[in-house]
Amino acid sequence: MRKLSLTLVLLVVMALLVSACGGAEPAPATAPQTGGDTAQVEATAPPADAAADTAAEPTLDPNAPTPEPTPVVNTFGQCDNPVRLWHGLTGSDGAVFAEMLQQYAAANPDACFESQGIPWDLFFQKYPTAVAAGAPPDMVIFHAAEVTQMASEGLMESMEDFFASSGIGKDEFNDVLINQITVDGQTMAVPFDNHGWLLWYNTKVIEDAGLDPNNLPTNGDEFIQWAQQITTDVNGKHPTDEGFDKDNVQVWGMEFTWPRYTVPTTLWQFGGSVISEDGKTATLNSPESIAAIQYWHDLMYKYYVAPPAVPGKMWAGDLYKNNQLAFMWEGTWTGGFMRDNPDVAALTQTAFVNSLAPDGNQAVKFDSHIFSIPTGADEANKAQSYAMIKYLLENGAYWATSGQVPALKSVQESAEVQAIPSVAKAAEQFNAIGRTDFAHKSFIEIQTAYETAVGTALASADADVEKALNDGNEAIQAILDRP
Amino acid sequence: MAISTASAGSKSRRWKTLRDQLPNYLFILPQFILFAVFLLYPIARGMQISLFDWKIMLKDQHFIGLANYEALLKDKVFWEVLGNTFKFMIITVTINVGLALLVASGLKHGFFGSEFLRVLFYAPGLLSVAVIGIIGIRVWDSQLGIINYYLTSILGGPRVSWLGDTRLVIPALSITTIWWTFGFPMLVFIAGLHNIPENLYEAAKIDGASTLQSFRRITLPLIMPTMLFVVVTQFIAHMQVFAQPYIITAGGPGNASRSVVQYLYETAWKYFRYGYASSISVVLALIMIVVTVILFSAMRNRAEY
Repeated sequence: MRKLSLTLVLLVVMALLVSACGGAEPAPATAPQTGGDTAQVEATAPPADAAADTAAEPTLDPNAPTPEPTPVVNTFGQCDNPVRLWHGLTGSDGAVFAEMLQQYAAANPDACFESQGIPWDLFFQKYPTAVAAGAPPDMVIFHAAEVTQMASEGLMESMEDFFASSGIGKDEFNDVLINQITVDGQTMAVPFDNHGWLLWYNTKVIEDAGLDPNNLPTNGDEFIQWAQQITTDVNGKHPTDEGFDKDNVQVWGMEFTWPRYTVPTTLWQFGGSVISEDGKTATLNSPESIAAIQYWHDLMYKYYVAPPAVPGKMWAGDLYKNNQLAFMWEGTWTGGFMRDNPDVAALTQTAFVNSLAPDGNQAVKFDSHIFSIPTGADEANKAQSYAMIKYLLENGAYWATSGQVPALKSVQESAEVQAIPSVAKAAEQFNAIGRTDFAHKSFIEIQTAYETAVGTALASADADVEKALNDGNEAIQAILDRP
Repeated sequence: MAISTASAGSKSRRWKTLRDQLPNYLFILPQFILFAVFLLYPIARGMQISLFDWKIMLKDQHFIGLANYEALLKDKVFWEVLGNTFKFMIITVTINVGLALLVASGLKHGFFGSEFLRVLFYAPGLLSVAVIGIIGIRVWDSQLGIINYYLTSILGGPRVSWLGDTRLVIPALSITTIWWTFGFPMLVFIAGLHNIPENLYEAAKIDGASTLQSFRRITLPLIMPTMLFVVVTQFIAHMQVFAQPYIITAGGPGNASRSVVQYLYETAWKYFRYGYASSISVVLALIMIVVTVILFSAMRNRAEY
């Protein structure tokens, strides 16, 4: 027995040593320092990772970059009753936000406030409990997509007063967004920015495949052929070639990025949706919705131009920066990533998110960081909160340096914002083809249900897309039917 | 009169006993207060909330009786995540206990490097679960992970989608967890093995017993009290698994690795369905109590002290 145990111990030790010494991830080639003749993407924005933009969902989605776990508290001025602001901007765009607060404090020496950055999952634990306990902050920032749910829980006050008193009208914002945050005729929040998906594409990868980066595919059928010319295995073979090694792909055409944005965007392009316009019927298993998700399944397992969408997979940016990915649907905040990787930025251009639908129908999801006053907030601090919101809106051009699009249309059109190519492109895109998530009191639960269904549908080659979406549809309908 | 005297004597004895034991109660009191405030009251409150359609901002909550429990019985996701949790627990506890006992049997005897190996095997347990999660993502990644590197580049095997295959994702999470946690049961087993008198093994050896026979006839029966402790604590710990799937797979693909506690957390803090989440916690607690009692009964009868 002792011999057996010792042998086992030795085996475990050997396994540990092998693991420790292996260090053997196949090291991807680094991007060449080829300079910037083709540079179209600014490399000036501070890092603003996608973690800063995750919604109520904990920031641990496989496609969402690593969150910052530590709350950051910034205090400005000294007084007994400072305006307390809670927000989830704990990623690198939080640094830009902190600079904006410093600018506000410098411009308003009497201002007295405390800003606390809290990771989104903790934020959504603290926020309702603080409101219920009668000790809410004076002001919060979260996302437009969650407004209806938070309002239906009684956690928010109407912001109609702000629009009436600040001189900033609702018509100065994207009207789709204002509709989303208006509940029972009351606009419950003030948009700070527009953020969402943008197409970031690697011109080197495209040119290396002998294609023209200025002539991109305009519909789903064109995209498949185009992506097959881009995609190569370790032997340089394309998916259409005999002997293509699908298990060892070197360069991909595209990747299925964060489902929270990629799924609605694709569904809308195909004419599908998650729920009906009246919010009463689940439509995840409509023929259009099935076609949209089946398209992604085919990209992964039939045409082999996109890596399988499995949990825990690496962020698309890791492939992209190593010239292993041509098209990347990613957030406006990727401007920060480009700032940190100027060599990658030099090879990158941005465009409207490409259509995957056969008819070339265009659509893209965008969301917004919104300002809101929690229920029961201190009336004495409301005027100060409004003043701060107004300042941050009117000086939104600085926020654009984080990669996000300022919410006020007038600021979007300013020279400073237009000078940042990715932000200018995103602003144009959101105003032209942007759509927001459906508004529903159980929004986050429905969102989890469709993400789960799509996750099942895309997990493997033999996954039954229609069955997965039928199951998801049933789950969503059960939520909608709840009183 | 005699009865009265006897009664007075009994009272006096009880009072004396109480007075003698008073310091014990006083020592216990601080912990009991904390226990009552932070555990007993929340448990009672949770059970109460499970009977309501609880809205955090409502002053008058809507009593719905057992409706949350009825809905739970029909909730496909709940049964799916409960099944996932049991599967994870069974794999993890079985391998953890078996491996820990075998390794402890080897490390019980002092040999060159044994102290170092104890530290080495326990070391992963010092890492936070967040670190374990990130390591797990890196190790199991189908494209860049170290496991697939050995599998494809060294052994020439196929690329396996460890976290994308509904059949493999829970074993992958279990193996990650075993690597992380098996140091603790190993240490407990080493302590338990040291309590077995060495002369029993010597006697068995003189009687011609093989190593395997000694293990079956001496070690296993006498390690049962330790085994009971390890199995029960491991069962309770792994039925409450949360962070590993939450970080490594977010519960996916689909719901394939979502655990009960993750579902409970999401129901309460993402969907704000506090009443329903409370009913999940009550049912989970009941299941764990029942299984623990069964484990106690089954294993205590086999324990030899």
